[in-house]
Formats: sequence, C-alpha cells, structure tokens
Amino acid sequence: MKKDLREVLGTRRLICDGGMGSLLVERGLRAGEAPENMGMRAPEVIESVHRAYIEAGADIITTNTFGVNSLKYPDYIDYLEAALGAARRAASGTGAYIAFDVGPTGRMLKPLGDLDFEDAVSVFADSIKHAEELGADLILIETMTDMYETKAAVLAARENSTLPIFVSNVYDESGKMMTGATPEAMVAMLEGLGVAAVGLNCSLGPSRALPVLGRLIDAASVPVIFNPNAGVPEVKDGKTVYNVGADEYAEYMLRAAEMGASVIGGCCGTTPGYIGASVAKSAKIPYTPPVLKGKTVVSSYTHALVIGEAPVVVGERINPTGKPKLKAALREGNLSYVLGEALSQVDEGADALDVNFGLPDIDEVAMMRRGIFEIQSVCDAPLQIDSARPEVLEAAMRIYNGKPLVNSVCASAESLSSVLPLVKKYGGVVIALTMDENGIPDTVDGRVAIAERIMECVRMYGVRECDVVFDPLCLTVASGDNNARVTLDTVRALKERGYKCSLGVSNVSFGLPERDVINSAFYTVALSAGLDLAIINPHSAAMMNAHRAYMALSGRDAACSDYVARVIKLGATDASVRSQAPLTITTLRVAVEKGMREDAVRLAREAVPEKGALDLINGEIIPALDAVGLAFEGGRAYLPQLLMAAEAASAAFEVIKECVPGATDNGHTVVLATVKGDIHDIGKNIVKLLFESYGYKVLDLGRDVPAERVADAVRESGAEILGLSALMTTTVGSMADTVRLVKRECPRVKIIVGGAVMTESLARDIGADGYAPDAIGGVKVAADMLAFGK
Amino acid sequence: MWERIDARRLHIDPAERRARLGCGSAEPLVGENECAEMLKGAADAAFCATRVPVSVGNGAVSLGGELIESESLSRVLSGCDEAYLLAVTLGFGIDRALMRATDTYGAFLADAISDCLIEAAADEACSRLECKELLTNRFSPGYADLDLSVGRYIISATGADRLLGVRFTHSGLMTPKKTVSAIVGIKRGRK
Repeated sequence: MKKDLREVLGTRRLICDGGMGSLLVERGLRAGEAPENMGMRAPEVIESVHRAYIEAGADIITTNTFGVNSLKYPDYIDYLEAALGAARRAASGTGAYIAFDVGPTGRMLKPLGDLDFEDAVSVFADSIKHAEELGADLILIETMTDMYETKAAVLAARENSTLPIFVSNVYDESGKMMTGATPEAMVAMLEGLGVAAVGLNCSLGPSRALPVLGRLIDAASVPVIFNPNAGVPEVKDGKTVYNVGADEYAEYMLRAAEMGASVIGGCCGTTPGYIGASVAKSAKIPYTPPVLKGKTVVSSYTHALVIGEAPVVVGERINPTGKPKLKAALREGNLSYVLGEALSQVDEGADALDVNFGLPDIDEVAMMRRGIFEIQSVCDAPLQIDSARPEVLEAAMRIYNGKPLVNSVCASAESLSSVLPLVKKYGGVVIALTMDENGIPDTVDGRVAIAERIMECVRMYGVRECDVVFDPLCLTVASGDNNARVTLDTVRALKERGYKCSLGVSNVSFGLPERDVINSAFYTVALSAGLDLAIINPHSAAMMNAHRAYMALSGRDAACSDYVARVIKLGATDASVRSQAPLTITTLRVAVEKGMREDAVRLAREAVPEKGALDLINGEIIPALDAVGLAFEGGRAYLPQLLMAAEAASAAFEVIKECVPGATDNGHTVVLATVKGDIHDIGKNIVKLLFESYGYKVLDLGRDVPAERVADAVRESGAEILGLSALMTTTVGSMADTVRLVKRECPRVKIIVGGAVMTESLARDIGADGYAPDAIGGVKVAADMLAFGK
Repeated sequence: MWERIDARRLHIDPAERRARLGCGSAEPLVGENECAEMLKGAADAAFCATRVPVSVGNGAVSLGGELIESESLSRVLSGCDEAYLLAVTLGFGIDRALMRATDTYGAFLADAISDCLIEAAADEACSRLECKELLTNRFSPGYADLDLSVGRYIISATGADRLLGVRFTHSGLMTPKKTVSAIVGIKRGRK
C-alpha cells in the first residue's frame, strides 16, 4: 500500500518520468499521429513506456493525456480511460504514483486570444473531474506557457478534485514565460491557489533552465519541480534529436538536487536511460526540504511585488467616490476613462492600483469583472480589488490574472466568514482593517487587540499569516487631536509584532484646506514608523515628492537615481511647455485640419462661450473634417493625417459636450462590430473615430462579436446604421451569417460592410446595403443612406 | 533551429513603412519614432525553422511528408528538393503594447509599425537560415491559393507552438498577432 503523496512530498526527493513522444516514435507512432491516438489503438505500448520509467527509478509516471481535452476530442473520456488504464496496470504493485497529465488547451485565452477564461476552466474541468475515479494520485498541470491558462487549469483542479496539484511551466532563457510572467509571479499566484508543488518543464534544456530553477527555489515555500527537455530539438536525417545526452543530463540533475529541487525528471527528448542516469547521479545528494519564505507577495500577470521590502504605492484614483467624471463613465459602461487613469497612475510611480466600482446604480459585480479584465489588458501593475461586497470580491479574484491585493476584511464575524474563505480559495493578500461591529477603537491597544483577533481567524481559515496586511485606520485630525498619533503608534505596535501595515493616507486631512500639506507630512512620518503600503494619489506631486524623498533618505534609492530622474522629468515637462508657448494655430478649423489636438481643445474651450456649440460644430469642425476627407480621397492626405484630424475633432467635441450637453449629437446612432471569429479591430476603431467626430452616437460592440449580440444591440439601440468589419477570408462566412440574421431580426437597419477581405460585389452577394472601402467612405455611405431614408 | 532576434537592431524597410502607414512622406509622422522605439522594447522576437524534403507534382507539394495542394506553392518550390518551414514572432509583449494604445491614431501607428517589424524580423530569420544554396522568397499561408490551414502544419512542424508559444484562434488566426509562418524553398545547386 503506497502512502498518500501528500505525506511523502517534501520529505524526500521524488523522481518523475521523462518524455513520451520520442519513445512512441521508436515503438511505432505514425507520422502526424498524436500520442493519445496511439494510446487508443495500442495501449500496451503506453503501458510498456510507463513500466520502463518505473524500472529506471521513477516514483511518478505521467498519463498519456497531455493532448486530450474536450475541445479536441468529443470522446475524450474514452481517451482518459485508455490512458489511465495503461498507467494503472503499469503502476500496479510498484508503489509508483500516477500523475494525471493536463496540457494546454491549444488556444490562447482572452485578451491575447479568443478563449474565454471560464470556458477554459470548463474545458479543464471536463477532464480533471474523472482523474480521481480513474486512479490518479495527483494532477500534473504542465507545459503551460501562459499564466492565465495555468490559473484556469488550477481552478478547475481545485473545484473538481481533491488530489494534490503539481504545476510546471515553460520559461525561456530570459527567465520569463511566453506571456511575460516571471517565476516569482508564478510562485505567488500558484501558492495562493494552494498548489502542492511548482516548477518548470520543457523549456530550452537543463543548462538554460537551471537559473530559473534557482529563482523558483528562492521564491517558493512549496516543493519545486525540475523537468527540462534534453536540450533544444533539431531535425537530423528526418528525425527529431536533442543535443544533451543522458550522462550530461544527469550532471544537471545532480546540480538541481544540490540546489534543492524536490521533484526531478525529464521532458521532451528524455528517456528511461536519462531518468536512470539522473537517479544514480543524484542519489548521493541529501534531500533539502523547501523552506517557508513567509514573504508578503502579490503579483500581476508579469511580475511579483513584495510588500515589506520598500514602501509600496497603491494608486487610489479608480474609485468613484468624489469623482463625477468616473461616475458618469461607469454609468455609461465606458471604461476608457478608467484605463487612462490606470496607465497614468503607473506612469506617475504607482506600484499597484486600487480598483473600486462601488456605485449604487450599477451592476457592481459585472462592472468589476469587466473592469479587472480591461485594466489587465493594458496595464501590468498588480491590482487591489476593493469592494464592501464579498460577491464582488469573488467575481474579481476569480478572473484576476495573478495574486491580488484584496481590500478588505474587518473583525466582524460576517466579514471574516465571507472574505477569508475567498482568500483561501483564490489566493491574495488581504487588507485587514482594525475595526469590528463596534467601530474603530480609540486606543492603540484596542486596535492591536482587534488585529490579533483577526490573525487568529486567519490561522483558523488556513490563510497564511504573511498574506495579511493590517490597516490601523486613520481618522481625520480635524475631528480629534490625537487621531494621527494613535494611528502612527498603532503602526509601530503592529510592526513590532512583525505584521505588515497599510494606510489610506489622505483620510487624515479630511475636512481641512490644503490637504496635500497635511497628507504628505503624515505620509513621511508614517513611512518612518514602518508603513509598508500606502493608498495615495500618485498624481499629487506633494505625495510623490514625499515618497521619493523618503526613498532617497532611507537608502532605498541607490545613488538617489529615481529622485534625480523625477526632477529631470519635471524639468523636461516644464521646458516642453515653455517651448510650445508661441502659438501659431488661431482657429479651431485649422487646429482640426492640422490634427493639433491640444490646440483644438484650447480653442474650443475659448470659442464656445462666444460662438456657441452649433456654430463651432457646423462652421469649423465639420468643414475641417470634410476638407481632410476630400484631401484623403484625392491622395493629398494620408490615413495618419485623417486620424489626427479626427482625434482633434473628437477632443474638441468633448470640450463642447462639457459646456453644452447634447450639442454634439447629430441624432443618429451607429452600431459597429468586428464579426465573430475575427480579433482584428484597428480598422473598426478608425471607423468609430470618424463617425464620432461627425457627431454620431456610436455603440461599439468590439471584436469577435456573435451575430445574435449584434442583432440584439441593433434592436435595443434603434440604430439606423450597422457597420460590420472582417479582415480575414475565414470570417467572411461569419459576416454573411451576421448580415442574414440582422436583416431578418431588424429589417429597417442599413448595413455597411468593410475590411480588408471585403469587396463591393462580395458585399452585395452577402446582402449588405453598402460597402465602404475605408473609414471616410463609411461615413459618406452612411450619410447618403440617411439622406435617402429621409 | 531556434534563435532569438534582437528587435532593437531591426531595420524597417522604407517601402514597407510607406505601404503600411499609407503615407507618401519619408519624414517621420508625429510620434512615429517614439512608437517604433517603444515597440522594439516590447518585442520578444524569435524564430524557429526546420528543414524538410520537398517533392512537387500535379499542382501539389509534399512538404516533409505533408501533402499540400497549391498551384502557386508548386511554382515557388519547383527546382527545390528541400525547404525550410519557418515561424517568426514578435511575441506577446507586442500584443500588450498594441492594446495599450489609448487613441486611434496611436493604435494605427503601433499596428502599422509592428507590421513593419515582423517583416523585418522574418527577413532577419531568413538571413540566418543555415544554407549553402540559394533560397526562394518566403511564401506564407494565405498567399494566392495556399490555404491558411497550412499555417497549423508549419507551426507544429517547427515546434513554434512550444518554442514560441504560437496558438490558433477558433477561426484560424495566429497568436501572438505579429507572427509569420512561411515556407522558404532551397534551390538546387550552390549559391
């Protein structure tokens, strides 16, 4: 009777098996045949490979299920049964553990690809839910090149199995995964998700993989797996060969054992000979168990952020409280404003971003899910998910790509019982407020006592202590002379106990004038008291100056380089402003024609009170756009100039809209979409910009849009014009399907099609009402249709 | 064969630039140089290639044992006994950079320049193919009658799925977006 793997893992070095494909080629795998198909027709061959590895000394054999999933094989269960059957027969009576092998789906997840995160979870779950009943001892998620897909697989394993989860990823020689994640970022996320072991496989051979192994061991508290390829594959005489032989490979495994790898084995190109040699070489090296690191770490999809080394700035601007523009954008479902705030805060020096969408009249769960996804599409800073509602936290933690900060939990029973299980399941560093049902204690001792109560519950729920950061809360000094002192003393007391501390700094000055004066001074003192993380406004020069000055003064800014860079940057900005002082653009029309966005904004702002919105639009903006459009059609201007003019017009429209709401609307609605299956949208976005600059209300459905959603949007918006785009020949069919459905469901809408693959005759053939060869053509065709309709 | 390409050393062909930007002027557009530098910094360019036997006949080509029906590819590979299958990518960093463009002009500029960069990277990859013979021009799935689905074979045969992380969407498009798959014939006789 073999021991449960969890009892063995971390007590001795385990040996994994090696490659499967090359051995199957030797045993009759046909050209182009997938290993799993050979497993169906010749399961005895798979069994013989497993036996060979066990005889070579492998403790763990890996099922022949790497390429099996419900996306590729409708009858995937038959494949799983065949593969697990072969593994069971081979392992029977040997004590070998059976690893249920889970490989990538073969598709890239959104936003880089087209597979939805939850669909990926479902695909993995389809297979994994059978692993236990078919006799597997562990789930091995391997050869993953993308952090997000790895998370989908781990969640599927957690939700559909009780088996220990091993995860091993592919890193390149720069030490990153294909989609940019570092080993430290992966360790942070995977340990948060509760996996039993992390590591690397495949990659570029053992010599190039060893440095990554070192980083994994330095970061991980769980055992580390090392299963590299036998070098880089090359084709010689029609055969794939690898450039590292068994003896050389075993030398690297010896090094890996010395470094502290807990599980060693092989991947592509390795054979039982490699594993046998590695077992012999490494046997004399005493096992080094993994060491608990106890670091407080969050991560994005690219990098890890350690809390407690240098003070961390969390940008506070993505929070609708007191921000009318953000409120309006959220109510319209327009996230462009949010994305701009995200990028600009990082540009100003934020290490992480707080994200709060708490508005009473929006669907906070849906907005948070969408917001997290959109922000992570463009910004790689770790995020702090901020909501008072556990269901919002869960929705965001589930889809977050990395390990988030979670804001927040307090000492009330309801809060602890709803938030801590989420941290346990999805991973995260939780901000713990030192308050309970009775409010915030007035004294240092009272707040510290609450912190200790929270920590007891944290242990009870199985959350790691290092995944808690306490916020001792800061009340305004306007309402109590001792408020700041109590907070600062609480920070010191918590730090003495070894805890990490966070503060929402600006609360200290609530109700006072010139708040930055108080805030920046308080921030500096709090940093001196040991504050680890501050939620502040990175756009505040006073706060960021205080931050950079503290970093320099505390010896955390080598040679004051960041401080100096900041001063130079500010100086450069001033200089550039001065250099633009002599203005030559004097009318809005010229500014738009020349594509001078800043000038267009300035001139629109100056001219609206005097000329009025309509005169500006009809007398300056539209004629300017028409002039550039004509020049474009005549070959005297090019697409970049057209775009710059449209950007300038749109910026001027925004100003006019602020001054005279509704004035910029020409009364017509256009729905735009790139059809299902097509992920290109640059052309569609250009069309959108042009339509907006002519005053149309544009409902942009994005890319890869199903026909049903297009029809729904046209029906619900009452749009008169629908613009559809397709770039690839493979998506013309999808374009035709969409036109057909919309014509049936919404016969009154006029459909204009465009995109690289479309022609006028093809547009006619699929039943569209019009064809636009380019963006300006689309606007003209729409105007003609609307005029004719009248 | 697998190698990295230093994107910072890639040279954008002026004719390619004019075609992609739709712009007659040789003068850099507003923000163009900065955009090119940003993209070169974001790129993680690499290629992989494998040499396979070729036989041509009856409007079809046998390429490493894979039968591909294509008159145009047959013409390109006539006189070749071998060919390189080639996969080149700028990596996912470019896809992220393209998503970061906050305005349409910036997005257009970034898309056009990254198109130029992937062409330059493919040229660089071809120049590194170890070969004593002359090579044909690159011929990619989607050119003329060469079906897009051939891309899947090239990616699989070169190992670009594992080595470069190349995947296909449901409708057959490659990710990372700025990825090229191609066939390069090796002509009989020495250079």
